[in-house]
Amino acid sequence: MSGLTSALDSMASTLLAMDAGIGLLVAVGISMSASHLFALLANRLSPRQIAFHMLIDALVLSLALTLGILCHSLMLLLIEGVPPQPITLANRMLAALWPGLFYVLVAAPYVSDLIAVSLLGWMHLNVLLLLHARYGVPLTEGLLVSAPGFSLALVLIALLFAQRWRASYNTLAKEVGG
Amino acid sequence: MTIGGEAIQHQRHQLRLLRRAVALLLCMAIVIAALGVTAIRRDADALLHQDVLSELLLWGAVLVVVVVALVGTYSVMADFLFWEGWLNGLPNPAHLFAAPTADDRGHRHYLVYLDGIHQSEECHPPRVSEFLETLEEAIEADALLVKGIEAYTIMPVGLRATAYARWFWERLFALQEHHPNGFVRFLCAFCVQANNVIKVGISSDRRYGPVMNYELALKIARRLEAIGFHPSRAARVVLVGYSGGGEMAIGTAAMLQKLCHVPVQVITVCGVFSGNGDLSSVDHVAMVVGSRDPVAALGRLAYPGRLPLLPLSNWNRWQRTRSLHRISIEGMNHNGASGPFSVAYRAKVVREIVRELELTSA
Repeated sequence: MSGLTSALDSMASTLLAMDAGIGLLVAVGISMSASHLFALLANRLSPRQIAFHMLIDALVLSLALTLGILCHSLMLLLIEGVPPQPITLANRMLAALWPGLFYVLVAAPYVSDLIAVSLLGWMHLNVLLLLHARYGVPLTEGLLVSAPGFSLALVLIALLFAQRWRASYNTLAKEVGG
Repeated sequence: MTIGGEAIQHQRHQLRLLRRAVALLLCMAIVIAALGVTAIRRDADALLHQDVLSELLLWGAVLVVVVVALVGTYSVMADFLFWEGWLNGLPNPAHLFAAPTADDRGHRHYLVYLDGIHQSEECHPPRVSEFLETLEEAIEADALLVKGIEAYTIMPVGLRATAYARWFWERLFALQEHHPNGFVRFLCAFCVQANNVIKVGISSDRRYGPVMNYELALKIARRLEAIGFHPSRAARVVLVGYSGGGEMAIGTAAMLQKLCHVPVQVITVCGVFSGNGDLSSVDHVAMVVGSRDPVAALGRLAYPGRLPLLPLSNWNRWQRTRSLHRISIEGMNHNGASGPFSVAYRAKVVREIVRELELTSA
């Protein structure tokens, strides 16, 4: 138990020492967007269209993560009475997203679910640790504070990915039907 | 001293010098080795500490996940480049069976055999070939057994002839067959099997499976067309898949049915499959399983889609509307001396396949 606590403390101090800017948010968005590059390929898009879609998807995914952070701000106000300061909160919480840089590995078959769940869980744990370190929110209460924002971000990400894959299956159905 | 004697003395002197140099080098090597052993021992001692071992295990696991992910992504890339048409050879399915082909031997049932992950090229290993000969003799005269389809490549040609990696595969097969060192042969065989396992993984992936299964179905349809199959004369296509070939058979069945315009049914032998494949339009699936087959049993655990825990999986939904024929053979293992291709079980497996064909031929 003490080992776990010291590991969490070490993670929290690393996160606090990180100087994460808006660039990290966009980089995570690009990594997530790249993870479903094959959905765009399956849609039989040209290389230029693929690049355009990847850029748009990266921005949409970054927006989804930003909305999640805004949600955290609202929950902090409601539960902990912390005045809403979304930009300050975003600056303080962005470091939590750094495992998302590896999200591109979710493109791999058969281990994708394991990688995706691990990375999303890791990001969520980082959020809890930062809430504890920056605002003194206990880890159990942090779960409640971060749950709506995390769920919202997940739903938006899942919707975008599902839409792209659905379009690719339609393309395949047309091919076979033709 | 004569000139000859001087030459001999000079030679002796040279030899003595050489001997001293060799002795000095040996001493230095021994000192370096001793130092090296001490350092290695120190490092080995350090490695035995709990913290270092845990860190090594963690980084090892991360490395394995990253390497597996990258290899899988590379493999998927090849499938999708083929789908995009960038590797040439993806035919228009509308042109399949456009002209009536000449199969005047009266075949109506086409059995397509898809081999397990040991398959490295079109011809099968001797034991599998003997099994297929037995099967060929046992089926009706109006049925044709189609052999030699490489289930783990998407191109109409085998791995040995793929345009983008021909050199690599030729070299690998050559090493696998002819290298004097057994470990090298094992390593090469492992690489070939790893490639096939990856293809099974891609086929079962809910995102990539449809595209890859379509490409394999197209490959099978083209082969059927080449041997005289035509939807107007054929009654059905039966996919017989052994081990990982079971996944490829279940994955391609629905697509093949659309492409060939005849009912397709599946018989798996010691099948390892995910249950993610879309079987909604397939009426008959049969499983021939061995009571002592640990691989197939493990596959059932590795793919939760076949467990009752996930009632909405394609496999469980199919089982609610159709009846699965599960034929268990007592004592049969996955491979080897008590596997389905062994002398002991070959005839039993063939008998069950033929019985299944008769039951579903109506």
